[in-house]
Amino acid sequence: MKRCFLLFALVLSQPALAMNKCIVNGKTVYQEAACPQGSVQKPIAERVQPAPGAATSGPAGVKATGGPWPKLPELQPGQWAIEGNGESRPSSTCGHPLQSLYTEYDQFTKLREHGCKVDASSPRQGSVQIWADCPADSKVGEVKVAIVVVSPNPQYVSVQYTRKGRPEIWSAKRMGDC
Amino acid sequence: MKRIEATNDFVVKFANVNGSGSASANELFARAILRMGIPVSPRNIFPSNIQGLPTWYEVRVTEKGWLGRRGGVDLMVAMNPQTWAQDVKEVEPGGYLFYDNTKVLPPSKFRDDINVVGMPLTEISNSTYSVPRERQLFKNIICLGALAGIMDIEPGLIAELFGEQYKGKEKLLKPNLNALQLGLNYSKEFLKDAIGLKCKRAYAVGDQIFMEGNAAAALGLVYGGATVCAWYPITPSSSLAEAFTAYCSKLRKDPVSGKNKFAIVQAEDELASIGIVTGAGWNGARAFTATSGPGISLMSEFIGLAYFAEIPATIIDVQRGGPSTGMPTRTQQSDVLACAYASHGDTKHILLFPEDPHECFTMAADCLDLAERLQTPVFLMTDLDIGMNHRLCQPLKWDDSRAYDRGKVMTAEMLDSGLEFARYKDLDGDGIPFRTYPGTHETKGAYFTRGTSKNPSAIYSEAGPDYQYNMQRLLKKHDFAKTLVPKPLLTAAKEPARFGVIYYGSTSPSMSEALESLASSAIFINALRVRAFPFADEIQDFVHSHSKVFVIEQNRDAQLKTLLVNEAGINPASLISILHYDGTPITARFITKEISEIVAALNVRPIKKDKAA
Repeated sequence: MKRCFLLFALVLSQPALAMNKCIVNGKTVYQEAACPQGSVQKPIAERVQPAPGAATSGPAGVKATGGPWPKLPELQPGQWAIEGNGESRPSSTCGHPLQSLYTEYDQFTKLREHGCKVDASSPRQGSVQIWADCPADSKVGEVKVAIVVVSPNPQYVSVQYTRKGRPEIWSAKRMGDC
Repeated sequence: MKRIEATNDFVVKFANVNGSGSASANELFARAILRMGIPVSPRNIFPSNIQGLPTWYEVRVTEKGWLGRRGGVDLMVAMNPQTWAQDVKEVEPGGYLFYDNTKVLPPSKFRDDINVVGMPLTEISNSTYSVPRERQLFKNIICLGALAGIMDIEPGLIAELFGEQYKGKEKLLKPNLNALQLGLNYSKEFLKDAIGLKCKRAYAVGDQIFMEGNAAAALGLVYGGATVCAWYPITPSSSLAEAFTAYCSKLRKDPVSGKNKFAIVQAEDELASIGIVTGAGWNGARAFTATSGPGISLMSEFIGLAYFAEIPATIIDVQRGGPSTGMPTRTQQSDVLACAYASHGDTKHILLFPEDPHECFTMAADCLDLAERLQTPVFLMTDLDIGMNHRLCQPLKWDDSRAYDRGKVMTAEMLDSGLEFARYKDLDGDGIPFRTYPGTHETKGAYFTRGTSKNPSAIYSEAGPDYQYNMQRLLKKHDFAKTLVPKPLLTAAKEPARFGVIYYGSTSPSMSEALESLASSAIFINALRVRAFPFADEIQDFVHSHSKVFVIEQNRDAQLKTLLVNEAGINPASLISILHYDGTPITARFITKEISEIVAALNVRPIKKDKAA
C-alpha cells in the first residue's frame, strides 16, 4: 500500500512579505500596491525586511509567506481509504476527505480578529502549508497549529497536523467510486 | 591640511606583527565602542603562520549599522615597520596615521595629505616595564588608552572589559589598568584633539548580539540535534568543531549520569571524517563535519557515496582562498561549484548560503533537517569572513515546539502493517524513498547499502532501465528540494529599475551599503539575495524582469553565475559578473564603483529622483 509522509517546511527567521512585480516602460518595480493597468503583475515570494527586527516563525517548522491566501488542492470525490498515525485509524469514507478541512480553512483567517497570527502558503502546486499561532492571552486561548497538505494528484492527499509540536499524519487514497 | 572629521562613522585599521599580543588590545578597542551603543564590524586579516608575519585588524564604526567593509581607512594605527609603506598608502586623504615615534623617521616615509600623530609608545613602555614580554604587551594597552583619550572612547568601559577578561586572574587586572591610564594621560597632555574621529554614546546596537559565525553554526547544530561530529582541523573551520565541543559539553550531557550524549571524533584525515559522518547518518544519527575547500576535495569520494546511497550528511564548508593550499587565512566564495557537483558521475548537491552568524545558526539546524528529509549530503556554504570574525546580528532564537524532521523513515510498526518497503522506490512522486534504520525489524525492512547501481529494491543491478530510473529519481528529488530550501530574498529599489543584482553569503552587508550609495547617485537597482541551491524559480523570474543583472561574487571564475546558467537556464548575456577575489572581504566601495562604471559604460542616464516614474 502506498503511503506518503509529509514534506516539511523550514523555519525561516525572516518573515516574508508579499509584493507585486510591475514592469512599466522597461523598468521593474516591486511594490505592495497593485500594478498599473497594462503592466506585468506577478507576485514575488519574499522580501527582505526593511530593518533587522525580531524574528518570528510559525510553529512546527512551517514557514509563513504572507502571500495571497492559497487554495487547498482539489480532490476527486469517491471512495477514499484513510490511514495515519496518532489518533487517526484506518478508515474509509465516501465523498471528499478534505471536506471538513475546507470548511475549517475558510474560518482560519477569522482567528486574526482574535489576536492570532495566521498564515498560509503554497510552496508548490498541490501543496499548502497553514499555521495559526494564538498567544495565551488571545480570545481563543493558546493555539499552535500547523497543517501541511500535499496532493500530487486529485486521487491522493496527505495531511500533517502539528499541535504544540506533536505531529499527526494521515494520508488518503481514492479507491474508486462509492 | 584637510582633516576628516567624523563622529561614529569611520574606519580604523591596526597594522601589527602577528604574535605581538595586539589582537587582544584591538578587540578591546572594538568592544568598548560597541558598549557605547555604536555598531562596529571588526575584521581580522591574519597570516597563516603563527608568529612574525603582518596582521591587520580593521574596525568599521558606523552608527548606521553597516556591517560590511566600506573600503578605505580613516585612521591607520601603524605598528608594523614591515608593512609601513603599504599602510601609509592606504590612508584616505585627510585621514590619520598614528604611529610609534620613539624612533624618528625621515619625512619621506610620510605623505603630505594625511595627518600624522606620533606617540613614543616604546619609550613609555620601556621606561615603565622591565620584562621584555610585558613591554611588548603593555605597549598595545598604552596605545589603546591613548586612542581612547583622543577619540572619546569611555575608559570606564575598557576597564569593565578588563574586569571580565581577567575574572579570576585579578593579578593581571591592575597592570593593565595602569597601562591604560598611561596612554590616557599622555593623550590628554600631548594629543588633545589630534584626531577628528570621535565616538559618542548612541543607542544603535539594540538587541543585536556580537558573535562569530563558526560559533553560531556550532550552536545551530547542537539545537538542530547533531550528536556526531567527525572532523579534521583546517583553517578556517576548526573553531566550529571546537565550539561544538564546548557547547555539547555544556548542553548535551546526561544531567543524571554526567555521560556525554554526543560523539566528537577528530579523525586522522578528511576522508575518515566524512566516512564517519556517512556511517553515523546511515545509522540514524544526525552527523556533520566542518571543513574548508581542501577538505571538500578530499571528501569527494565519500560525498558521492552518500549521494548515491542516499545517506544524510551535513557538511559545513567554511570557505577560504583556493585552489590547493591557496590562502588559508583569507576569505573567498570559491567552493560553490566544487560543492554543487562534488564527486564524480552525475551529482548535484544542496547548498545553503548564510549571510551572517544568525543565518549560520538557523541554516545549520536546517541543514540537518534537509539532509534527513532528502537523504543526501547538504552543504552550509559559509566562509572565513563570516566564520572567524565577530559580527553583529539578530539574537538567536529557537522555537521549542519545532520538531526535528527525520524524513521518511519506516518503523517496525509500519513494516508490520504491511506497507511496501523498497529502499530506492519513489512511492509518492517527490523522488524521496523510505529508509529504515539498521535493526528496525527482525525480518523486514533490511536492505544492502551500496554505491553501485541497483534496482528500486536495492538489489544489485547493471540493467540500464534500473540505473536510469534511479538517476532520474535522484534528479526529481533534487528538483523537489527547491520547495524546501530557503527562498531568495528581495530588496526592492525605491524607484523603478532597469538593473538587478544577485549576491549571496558574506557579500550581503557590503551589498546593502552599496545599494544605498548607488541610490544616492540615482542608480536604482533591485537586489536578490540567493540563499540556496537548487535555485528557486523566483531567481529566473528576477533575471527575466531586468535588462541586465549583476552577479556579485568573491571568486575569480563567477561560480554562482556558472551555476545559474547551467541549472536555472538563464541566458549568460543577461548577467554581468562583478568579481572580488584578493582574499579580503568585498567592500561597499568596490561594488559601488564597479556597478557605477558599468552602468555608465552601458550609456544609461541615471534617473533623476524628481523625474522617476
